[in-house]
Amino acid sequence: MPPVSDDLSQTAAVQHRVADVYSAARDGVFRYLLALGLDAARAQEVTQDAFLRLYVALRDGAAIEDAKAWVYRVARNAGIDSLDRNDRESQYSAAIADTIASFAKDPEQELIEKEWLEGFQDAMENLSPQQRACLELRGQGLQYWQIAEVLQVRTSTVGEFLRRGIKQLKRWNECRK
Amino acid sequence: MPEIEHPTEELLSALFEEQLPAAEVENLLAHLDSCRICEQRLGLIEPAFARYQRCRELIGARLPKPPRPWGNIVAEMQEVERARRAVPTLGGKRGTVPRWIGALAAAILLGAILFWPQRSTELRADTLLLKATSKTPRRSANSRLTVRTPMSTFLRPAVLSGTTSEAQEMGAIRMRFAAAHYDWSDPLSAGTYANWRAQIAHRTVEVSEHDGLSTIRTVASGGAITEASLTLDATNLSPVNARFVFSAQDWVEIAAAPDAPVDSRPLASAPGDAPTAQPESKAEQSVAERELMTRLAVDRLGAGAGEPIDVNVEPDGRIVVTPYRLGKQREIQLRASLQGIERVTVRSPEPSERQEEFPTSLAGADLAIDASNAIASRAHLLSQLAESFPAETEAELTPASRRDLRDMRVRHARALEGDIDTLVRVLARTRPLRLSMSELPDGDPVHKALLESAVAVNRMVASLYAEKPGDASAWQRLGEELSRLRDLARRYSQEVER
Repeated sequence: MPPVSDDLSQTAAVQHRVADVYSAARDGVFRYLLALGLDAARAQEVTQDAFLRLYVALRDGAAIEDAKAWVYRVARNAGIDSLDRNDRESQYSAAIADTIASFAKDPEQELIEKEWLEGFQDAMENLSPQQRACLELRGQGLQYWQIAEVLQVRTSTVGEFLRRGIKQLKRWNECRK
Repeated sequence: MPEIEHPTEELLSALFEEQLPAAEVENLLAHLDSCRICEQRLGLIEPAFARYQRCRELIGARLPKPPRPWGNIVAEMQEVERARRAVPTLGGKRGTVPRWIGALAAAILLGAILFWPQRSTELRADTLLLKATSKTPRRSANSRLTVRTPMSTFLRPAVLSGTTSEAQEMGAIRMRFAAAHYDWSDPLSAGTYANWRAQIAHRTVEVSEHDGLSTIRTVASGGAITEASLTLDATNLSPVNARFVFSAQDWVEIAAAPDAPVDSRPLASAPGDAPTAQPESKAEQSVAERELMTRLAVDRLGAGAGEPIDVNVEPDGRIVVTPYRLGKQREIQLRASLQGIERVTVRSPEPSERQEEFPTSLAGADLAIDASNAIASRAHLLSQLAESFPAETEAELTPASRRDLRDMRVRHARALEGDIDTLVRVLARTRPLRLSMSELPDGDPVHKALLESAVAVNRMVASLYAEKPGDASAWQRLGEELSRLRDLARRYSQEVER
């Protein structure tokens, strides 16, 4: 059995590691969960729970190579699980739809590229959940191999989801020209 | 992963334009992950991608903010740590700590104070429950339980909502659990069990571990439940079953059952103590649905790919499951997990059919043979899935079943690739193998070619290690077949992941 001081320093090291990932990634995880369709309160709860799970897993000796990808994966699974079936099928976020709608009410709407946004929601709805997840996770700053970890697919499959997603977005982009 | 030089414009465009070989896509994405310049070039080459990013930024700036300030993660981790270490501390800010942590901390504290002489067993039980609660994933709306009493057996949703309809016998049991202060809405859960334990002033506990199962047995005095046992799967700590004995010596057993199909009714009862499953709803499930549920139940036990279990659909629609090499406990688990699926029978194999356990691998040769056996078993399972669920059958399944089927295929396809890597590593200890890209046939279903190739590799490995040493040309043929197998497995993975 290791001495108590070793165990304490190991615990402190794990807490440090989790705290670092928490401050760096919690906002991204929260936004990703909003994009997944969770409301803000639930997204915050799932985000915090995912980091606590990371701590428990690390304390149990789990070999987690990339904590950020692990947290996104756990949060994604818990988030999907907490959506009801209809929301899961439609997979489009009310928070994003509301945000897009808020632009139309903005007096400064001329200043922003509102025409870009007009068809954005339609374009996003035409993407499959996996295509949307790849684009969203990339938007949150995850690397492609981390996205593969989150979605539990090969990196080349991430490439294939992206290719198909971009193909859909191109149609939207060409319509906007 | 090998680095590549900055890719050409053509290659970057091709990433979004055409289907490149998997290895090339992986190299390109690895490069983009580490090269800001090429990531920006990609935005110029494909304006839709850049425009998408711009829209995201616009929207991201206006998304709702978290409704509360973020919790102090360090304080929360320390609270978890206190619960783990059983330090009796009740003070401190609770903040957003999940309720189960508080309950478990209280349970640990109570155990430490009241049961000092048997503290280690109490702590073992509480630690197990703490870990089990943190590991148990949230269950879907289709998760179900089999409930058995001396009078009846019936299915119910794993977690009840306020609107769940209730059969008469379920209402009676609910009242008994309510009287015992045991949460009937989620009875097969480590958290619920821990909460109940925390309320018991006088109790003794035993923790036993055997056959891959951990059982916590709590004997209580003075409550409506006199004894409650919760059995966890030792590998993932998910609850397998629970048994409750009431003061009148009545008992209730609860076990995890296969998930309900999406459109099935949430509750139905089956009379008596039937050894095989009873109809669960008036709407009869299709044979394909039942076969899939059976295969998922077998798969959930971690059996099927390594332990030979036959799943046969008889001409009259009955499903017969034959475990050829399962221990007694595992067979009990298998029977419990199949409860609730219509018209499924578990057939005990004749002594002559029973297969011996594989001997434990001791040397390189055994490792190679074991690895190639595992590959053949898994390819066989994938082939069975392809034969049982062709596209037209799959199309008739409910969306949830299709998702389950896909997940099972993906899981085993990825595991197969892992098995192949293991075999290559093991073989390399004897002789380095040169693997190259192979020509794959067009037209034939991949699963068939995959099975043929896995069987061929298995035969070659057995021949090289177990029968005769083999010359250089035999190793070369093995290398060629392994290359083909690896490429087929990769192609299969991509097909099922799509």
